Amino acid sequence: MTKIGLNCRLTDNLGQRTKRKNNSSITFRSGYIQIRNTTNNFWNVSRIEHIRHLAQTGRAVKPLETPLTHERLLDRLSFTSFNMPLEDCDADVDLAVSLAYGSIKLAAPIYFGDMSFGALSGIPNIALAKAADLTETLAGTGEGGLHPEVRKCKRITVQWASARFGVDLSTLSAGMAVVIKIGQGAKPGIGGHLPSTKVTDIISATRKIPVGTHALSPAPHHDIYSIEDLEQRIWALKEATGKPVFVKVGATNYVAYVACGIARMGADGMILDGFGAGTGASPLVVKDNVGLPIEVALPVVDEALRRECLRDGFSVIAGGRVSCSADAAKLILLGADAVVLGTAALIAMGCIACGMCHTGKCPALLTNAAAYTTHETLSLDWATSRLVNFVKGFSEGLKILVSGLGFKSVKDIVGRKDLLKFNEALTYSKKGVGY
Amino acid sequence: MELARSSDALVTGMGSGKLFGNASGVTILDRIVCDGAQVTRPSIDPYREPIETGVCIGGRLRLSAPFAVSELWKMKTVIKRAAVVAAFSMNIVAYLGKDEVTDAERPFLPNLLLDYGQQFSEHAAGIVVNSKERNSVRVDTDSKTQGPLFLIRMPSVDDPTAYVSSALMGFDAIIIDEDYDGLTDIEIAVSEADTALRKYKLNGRPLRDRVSIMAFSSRIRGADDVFKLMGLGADCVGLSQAATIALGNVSDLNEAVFCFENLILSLQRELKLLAGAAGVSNIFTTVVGNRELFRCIGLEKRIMQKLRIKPGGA
Ligand code: SF4
Repeated sequence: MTKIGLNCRLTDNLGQRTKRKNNSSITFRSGYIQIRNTTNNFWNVSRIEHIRHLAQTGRAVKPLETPLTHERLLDRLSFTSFNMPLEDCDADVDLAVSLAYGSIKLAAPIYFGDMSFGALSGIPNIALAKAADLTETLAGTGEGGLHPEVRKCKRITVQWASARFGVDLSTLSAGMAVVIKIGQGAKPGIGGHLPSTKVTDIISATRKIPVGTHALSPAPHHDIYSIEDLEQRIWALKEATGKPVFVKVGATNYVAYVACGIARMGADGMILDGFGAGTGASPLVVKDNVGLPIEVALPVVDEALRRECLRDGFSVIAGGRVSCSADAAKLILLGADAVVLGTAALIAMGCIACGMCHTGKCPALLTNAAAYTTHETLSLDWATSRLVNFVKGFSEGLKILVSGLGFKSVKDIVGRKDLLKFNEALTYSKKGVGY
Repeated sequence: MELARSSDALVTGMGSGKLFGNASGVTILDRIVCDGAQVTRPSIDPYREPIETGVCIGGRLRLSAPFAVSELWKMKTVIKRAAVVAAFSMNIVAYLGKDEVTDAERPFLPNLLLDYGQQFSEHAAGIVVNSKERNSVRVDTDSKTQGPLFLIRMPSVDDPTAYVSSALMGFDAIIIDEDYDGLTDIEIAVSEADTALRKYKLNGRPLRDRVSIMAFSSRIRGADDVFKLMGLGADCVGLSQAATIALGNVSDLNEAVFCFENLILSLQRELKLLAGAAGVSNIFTTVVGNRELFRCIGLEKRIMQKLRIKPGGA
């Protein structure tokens, strides 16, 4: 394994263990900060431990037995028939997928969620882009311009979002595709938000906004008020960059119609982001109440696209709380071509799910305020190798699942809802409230 | 509740930890999600564009936000007094119940709801008749255009016929109170009342047009619950416990008023965020009873039918 060790800045919320060391640089053997519990109900210790295990070993762990809890609808779906493959099925399962009418080929159906330079502090952005290059997957770069090191990577997408932060033609053409961001799963209908504490010199330069101001992206695109407007933007971006265009939307009540509109207006794919997806900063009230879980929205979108004969070649990338290979397999069965790893990727890089991203004081040095000079930075090699391992372990798990379902290629299981069954037994509690 | 300190909506990092699971304490409201507007129905930027939160109760009581502070008699004196002042300064209403109006509170009468028969009630925003004492009260339906509103406070029940008959008696507003020996969840009672009152036609117009619905419950925790109850048909939602918790141990009256005002302001901001995300510019005209803006996640069919909210994905 490559360099292990995370030079960690000490903050109050690390608990006793680090405080005693009195502001010296600390190194854990695994590189991860030890945790006993998290503030987030979904990203609990067992989910985090699972991801860390993959990221450390690069091998799958019991992909069929995760997730361990049953809170989501997705967790209550199980495979109708499954035969555990006997031997290493690495060789004979093909995870490669092609997106955007064949113009983008991925070695595995994985897309690293759009996280901006600003929301993340730089090194994690580079690690994500590098890991995408190394594993032949794809990384979204979020709104707000590209870090010069990220720009050097090939397998990235560039976002065209409502504030147009840091957008120019060379930036737009820098990736494999352009993403028009309409909404995100954490807060559909609300614009991006980079808190003022995180708008440092370097961010100010990439976003072209004053230091120390909140970067609040508008909620709507002020030039997209209809599907026709969207069509104009899609084609303008295609003409200007020559790259495929994806449209990213949050999962909402009418998302199936929106999806059909997106496909009909010439986009090459969509990123569908569900409830509970990550965010750097978002009003709690919106995060907890707006939008649909991905497992509810995705099958409806897939069905609507098929009904309108728009599904062939058009890509659906689904995200929002993908935490293990089983989640990915189920989403693919529900109609996704690829899945988004956002928070999961951060966890592979050491995130402890403390929910402090908005403060710029990330204990894991991922979402801290970006600056030209800092004493403590995340080790790029370490972060990249963790991500690469994570993708390897995740893919291996997915291979086992695809093979167990009786298929040779992940492409063949896209949209095969018939291979899933819903566990009714876990459905309702006495009061009628519950699943 | 940090809201009382900041006067702004709470912003945090990373994805929601909310699970629509079976954990204890998960309510029907928790299983309702709001819409986010996209593309064809663009959202409204709550940070930059105006969003109207004002509501009108009983045709003539105009409030700046759909909030009421209820159960004042259960609160500590200082919090109670702060609530009365804050209700006036923020232009919402506070329900004083049977408590005496002190001299200090008299200037705030235009924003107070008093029980029937109390001193000064003719100068209050509204006079509340408790349904258990209804028979002893004669409602004067003629003085409909001015003076205090006549409201009837009823427990939350499954069967909406009682609400309909109260509306027919001429009350300006119905307070559905879960803590007034309510028999069913406030969500269901409000929705059923709204549905029944909309169905019942008087002189060709829905009865709902003449009567407002207020929902009171100590279970209401924040702007999200208010927004959802409005979607189910409430014009105004009463907070009680939430306010007490938010103010905590405040002992100084001025500080308590300050915190109360901040709390109302932050709740209003949060309401605007939810409205903006859903593409709504006027909460009163667009959200009240508009179940299309909501979807249920993991609710039983029987309850969904009563709420008339579709399941997620539909
Ligand atoms: S990225 Fe950092 S601040 Fe955000 S939840 Fe993870 S560890 Fe906490």
